[in-house]
Amino acid sequence: MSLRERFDVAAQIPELYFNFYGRIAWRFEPFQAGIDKLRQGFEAGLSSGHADMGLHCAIQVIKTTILSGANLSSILKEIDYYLHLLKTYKSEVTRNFLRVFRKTVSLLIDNGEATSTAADPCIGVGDLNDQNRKLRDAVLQHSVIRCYWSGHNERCRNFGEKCKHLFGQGRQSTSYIAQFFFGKLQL
Amino acid sequence: MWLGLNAVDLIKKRKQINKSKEVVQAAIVAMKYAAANSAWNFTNKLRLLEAEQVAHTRTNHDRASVLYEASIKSAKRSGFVHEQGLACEKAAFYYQRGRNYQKAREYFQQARECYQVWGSSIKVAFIQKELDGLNPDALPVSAVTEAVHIKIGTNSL
Repeated sequence: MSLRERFDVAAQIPELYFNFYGRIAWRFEPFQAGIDKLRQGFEAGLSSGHADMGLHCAIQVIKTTILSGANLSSILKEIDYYLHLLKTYKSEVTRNFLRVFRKTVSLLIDNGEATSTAADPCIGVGDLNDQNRKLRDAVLQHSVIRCYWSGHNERCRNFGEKCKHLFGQGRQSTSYIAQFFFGKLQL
Repeated sequence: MWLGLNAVDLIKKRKQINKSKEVVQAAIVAMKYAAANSAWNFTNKLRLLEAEQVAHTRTNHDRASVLYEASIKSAKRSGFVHEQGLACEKAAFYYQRGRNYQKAREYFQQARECYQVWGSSIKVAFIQKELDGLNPDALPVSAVTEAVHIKIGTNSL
């Protein structure tokens, strides 16, 4: 990070923040610490013409705010803001991730009764075709989290079994949380 | 034949229990590893798993209480209001099982506050239901149901 200040790498900020604050920093810094930086990465990406990387930062912002226990209604507003922007910036990957997160947040608030939208997808594991399975993994992990909180223990156990292979080294923050809930469920 | 089937059932259950133990142990190891690098993010989760494990064996009441309290404090310190609520909820159920209804009520109330701040109305409603069940003379739901059965005479049916 200090090198970033020494050299003028403004154009690389979105990618740098996405990789550092989104993928690495949570391992040794509070979840909350990276959120503002990721928001900066999002804004820098959009204003410097690196919209794709900016939107990747937005995915990390939402993922991290969910894990940090931020107010669910605020998270929902932020997701809807990013989804609104996606009418201008086309990114199917971002849209799908945000929809998965939105479904989780909406379910946690009121079981989706008043907060779900017609645009909320039914992204199932079966109809995912993403190349490196990132979205599939996110759907599985979020299913574990959703089912745990909503008390669907058997479903939670099934999804936990399905994403067991993600509980390994080099994993992401959500897989730790999914494993925590999966382990917790057995007690 | 029935003995054999029973034995198969027992073996299945035993296998299931062993499998569950492995899952719990793996989760504890993972949380220990993560907490060693980031105590802020993972200590509360580790303590909660440990508390539930101790509570599950019902051997060391003091240790379970200390671990639940440690998890609650750690979650509060880290600002994880949802997990603070979860730890309070689990502590409340622990005390409810031990028939310490006063403590159970205190923890349920704390959990409800946490879930309100988090903004989860489904969890607030769930905790409220548990609190309502605790209210009449602090009897657990099962005891109230039993009392009603006796009163209306369903037990003699």
